[in-house]
Amino acid sequence: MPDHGETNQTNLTEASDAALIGLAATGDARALEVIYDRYSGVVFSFSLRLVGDRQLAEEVLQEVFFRAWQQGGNFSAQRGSLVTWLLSITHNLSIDEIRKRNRRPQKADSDEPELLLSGLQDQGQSVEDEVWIGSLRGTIGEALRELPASQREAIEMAYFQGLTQREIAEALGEPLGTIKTRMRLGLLKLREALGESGVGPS
Amino acid sequence: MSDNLDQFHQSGDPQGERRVRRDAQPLPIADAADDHVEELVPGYVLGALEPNEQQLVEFHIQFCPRCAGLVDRDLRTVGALALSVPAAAPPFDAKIALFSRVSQSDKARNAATATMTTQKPSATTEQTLPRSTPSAVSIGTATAAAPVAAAQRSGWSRFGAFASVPLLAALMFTGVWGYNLNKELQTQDSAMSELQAQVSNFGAGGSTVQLSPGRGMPQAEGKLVLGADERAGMLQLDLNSDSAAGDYAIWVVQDGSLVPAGEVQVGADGTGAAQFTLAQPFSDYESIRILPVDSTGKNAVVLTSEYQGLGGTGSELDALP
Ligand SMILES: [Zn+2]
Repeated sequence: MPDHGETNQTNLTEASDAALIGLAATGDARALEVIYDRYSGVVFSFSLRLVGDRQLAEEVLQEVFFRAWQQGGNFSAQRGSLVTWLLSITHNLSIDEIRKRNRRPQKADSDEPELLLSGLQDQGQSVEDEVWIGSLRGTIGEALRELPASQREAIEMAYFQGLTQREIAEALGEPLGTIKTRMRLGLLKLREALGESGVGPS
Repeated sequence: MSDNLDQFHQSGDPQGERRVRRDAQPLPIADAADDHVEELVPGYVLGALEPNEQQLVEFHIQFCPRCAGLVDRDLRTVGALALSVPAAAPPFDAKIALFSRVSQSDKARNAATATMTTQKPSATTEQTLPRSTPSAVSIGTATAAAPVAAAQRSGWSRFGAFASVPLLAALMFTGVWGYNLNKELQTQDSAMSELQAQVSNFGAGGSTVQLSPGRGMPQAEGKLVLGADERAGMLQLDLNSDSAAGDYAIWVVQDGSLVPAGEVQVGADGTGAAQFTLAQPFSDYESIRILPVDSTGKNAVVLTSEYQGLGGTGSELDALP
C-alpha cells in the first residue's frame, strides 16, 4: 500500500510488544503482523504440544491471534508480558480441545502427546525464536529436570494433558490434597529457578 | 475454526479469558474477602480446577489485588513451561488464513477506509462503495470463485486451502495486508510468485476507477482497482440485488467495439469480484462495461466507466451498437 513506508515498517519491527498490541487494538493490522511474526512460533509449538494435531494446532494459532486482534485492548502490560497473555489464551483454547476429545471414545492406539520430559530436547527445527525465548527454554528445561518426579508429574498431567486436580488424584490413587501440594511446591520451585523476572523480553 | 472452537467462543469467556483479561482496576472495597484464594492459585494457572473453583477464583481476583498478583505471577511461571516445548514452525498458510480473517473483521474494515482513500483516484466521482463492500464481495475469478465463496461462508475456517492469487490480491485492497507477508510470499512456490508480481504492481501505485450503473442494473455499484501498469486489475461490484446471481462478462471498449476482458461471478448476495489482465493499459481503451454473459446490448449494461472520465462520455453508450 502506498502509505506503508519503509521507515514506518522499521519502526514497527523494532517496537515493543506493548506498543504493538496497543496499535493492533486500534486496528493496525501491520502491528498485529509483527506480533504474529514474533510469537506465532511459540504459540503454534505450544498448541501442537498440547493437542498433538497440526490441523487443530493451526486453528488454535489462528484463534489466538484473532483474539489478540479483537481484544488487544484488554491486555495490560502491568500484569505480565504479551507472550504470557498469548500463551495463556493458547492454553485455554487447547485444553478445551483436549477435554472435548477426551470426552469422546478413545481409540486404542490414540497418540496422546508424550510426557513433557521425553520431549524436552529441542528438535532442531529451524524456528527463529526471539533470543530470550531460546535462553529461557534452556533454563526451564533444567528447572523441570530438577523437580521431584511426583511434582513434575502433577504439573504435566494438569498443564499439558488437561486433567483437573481431582482427575489426577483419581488417576494416581493419591489424596486430592497431596496433588494440590505437589502442584504448589512444583510451581514454587520452578518460579525460584526462573527468578522473578518472568516470561518476556527484558 | 472448528465447530468446537466456535462453540467455545460463543459459550462465553473461557477460563483464561477472564483470568488474564479481567478489569484491571480493583474495586475500592476495603476487604473483598477474608477468605483469599491463594491455595487455589496453582491449580488455577495450571487450568486444573473444577468449574466452581475456577469461578470462585475469577470472581475473587476482580476485587483482590493481592490474589490477582499471585495469579499474574504464577501465570508467568507456567508461561515459561509453555515455552519449554519443542519448537515447531507454523505453516505459511496459517498466516494467510489469519490475515484473511483479520481483513474481514469490522475493525480492519474501519481502518481500511482511511487507507483506501489514499489511493490515487483516476476518476473524479463522489460515488463510493458501501463501507462493507471490501469484505462482503465474493472474491475470485470465474474458476476460483466457487470454493472461495464457500470458504467465506464457512467463516474462513479452511481458508488457507483456497488461497488464490486473485483472492490474495483482493485482500491487498482492504489496506490491512501486512508488508512482511509480501516479502514472505517471494519465498513461496507456485502461484504465490504470481501474486507477488501483482502485489508489487499494486503497491507501486495503483489507481481506482469508480463505475456507474448502466441501464440494466440502475442500482449497481462497482469499482476497478488498477495496478501501476494499468493492465492488471481487480473488479469489485455489488449489484445491490439478491436476484442477480450469475456470470457476468467484462468488456473493454476499443474503437467502438467490445473486447472481452474476463468474467466475474456474482453471488446470491449480489456481490462479486474478479481479477483481469488487459492487453493494453486501461487508459488506451475507451471504457469498460460489465454485462450479463449472454448479452451485449447497451440496455443490458450493469456497470460502466462511460459516465465518468477515462475516455468515456455519457453519450458513448448511445453511440455504440
Ligand atoms: Zn485475595
